[in-house]
Amino acid sequence: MLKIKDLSVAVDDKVILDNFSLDINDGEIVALMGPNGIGKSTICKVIMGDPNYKVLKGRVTYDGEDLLKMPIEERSRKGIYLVSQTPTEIEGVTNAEMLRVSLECRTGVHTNFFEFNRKVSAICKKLNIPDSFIHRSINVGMSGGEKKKNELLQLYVLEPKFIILDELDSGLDVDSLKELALSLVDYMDSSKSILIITHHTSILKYIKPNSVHILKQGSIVASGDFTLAEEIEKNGFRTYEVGENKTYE
Amino acid sequence: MNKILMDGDKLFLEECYDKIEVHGSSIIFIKDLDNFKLEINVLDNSTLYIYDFSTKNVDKEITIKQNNNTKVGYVHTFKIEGDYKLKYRAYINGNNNSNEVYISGVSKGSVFLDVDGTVKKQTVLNSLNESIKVLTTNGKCFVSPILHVSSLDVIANHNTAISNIREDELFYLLSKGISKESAVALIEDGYVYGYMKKYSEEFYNYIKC
Repeated sequence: MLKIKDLSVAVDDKVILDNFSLDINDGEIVALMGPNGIGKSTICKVIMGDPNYKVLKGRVTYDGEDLLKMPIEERSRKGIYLVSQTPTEIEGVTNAEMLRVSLECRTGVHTNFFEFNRKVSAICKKLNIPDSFIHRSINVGMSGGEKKKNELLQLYVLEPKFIILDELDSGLDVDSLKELALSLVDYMDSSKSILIITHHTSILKYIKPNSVHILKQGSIVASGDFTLAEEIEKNGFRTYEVGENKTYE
Repeated sequence: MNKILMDGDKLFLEECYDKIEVHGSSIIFIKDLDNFKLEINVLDNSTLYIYDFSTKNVDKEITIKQNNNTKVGYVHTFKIEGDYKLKYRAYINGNNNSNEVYISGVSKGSVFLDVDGTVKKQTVLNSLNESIKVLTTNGKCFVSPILHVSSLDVIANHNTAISNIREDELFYLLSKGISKESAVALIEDGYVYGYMKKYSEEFYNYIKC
């Protein structure tokens, strides 16, 4: 599904990613871990197309197409979905308005008001979210957990196939994290993939990754399965240094 | 021409009066009224909410006079493509009054917002608040918020934000698959309609039709 090859990225002339490579296949759940400020969120932003991040070199393909040449909205329409660490607030624009316009931009067809409301109500019930969420300004006045729930509600409406979770666990209590994670597990099937960015293992206990990679100083320094994440939890990230790309089974 | 509003009155202003006198609790709705110069006298123990929506390049002047134990709220949203000037004057002459001004809009031309509040000397327990936010997409906006406070016992605040579309808001909407044109339209509508909906669902439904 997604192939990143030798990617180098800079922000404000500072190189954040350096020869970063990663493959994610259909149906895979991949976890990327690393200490704070190492560039994990940069990967999310580059995949989504944030113009503040300058690609210096490298290639990113999505289902065989050159992702770096695609505008942001096209990446979304092709199924890429980003849940940010701190979702943006937009006063005056309701979730309902935004989602209706998004669906219309995807399909080219006017969204039937009643069908849309029925669909959203069913999703709210499934996710244990009040119906009123859909009529609130996007993420305004919501707690951290509510914002993440709101992003999940949108995910269920827009039905993406490649989901990027940028520190979903950040700011969530244990119950909220479990609820959100299990909702995502429920959403998954063999045609969908998830990239989880985290520095804790808690979320990985619910959304079990097929592979875990450690990012340090711009590139991957270790790869393995869930046991690698457990080792990080026990010993920390200092064990892994650049240049020693180890594989852990 | 003058008008008296009694307790419970709702006035959809379709013609311009010179003076309106408010007794009790009333609401005034204004939508794209021409040649607008209005003076409103809010009598003791009265409450007035004014909801004002503009898309026409017609200058307007609103003067509010408050005496004792009154509350006035003025919510104004606009989307202007030419030149537009609003002059809002609040005069608080007695005790225990509040005057709250909330303005939000989009300027695609040249907008001037002159919002003044005056609190008389030796009055007590009054408050004046002005909150203004304007999106300038290919336009300009000038705001002159002035608070003349001659009393030692008053709460007076004003805040103004004039900006272009925020990059993070645009990125967020694009990342949901929304085209740039639709994203800009959504954000602009948020300033104009979404903001009004927050204060009066009734008037929001009226202006949306």
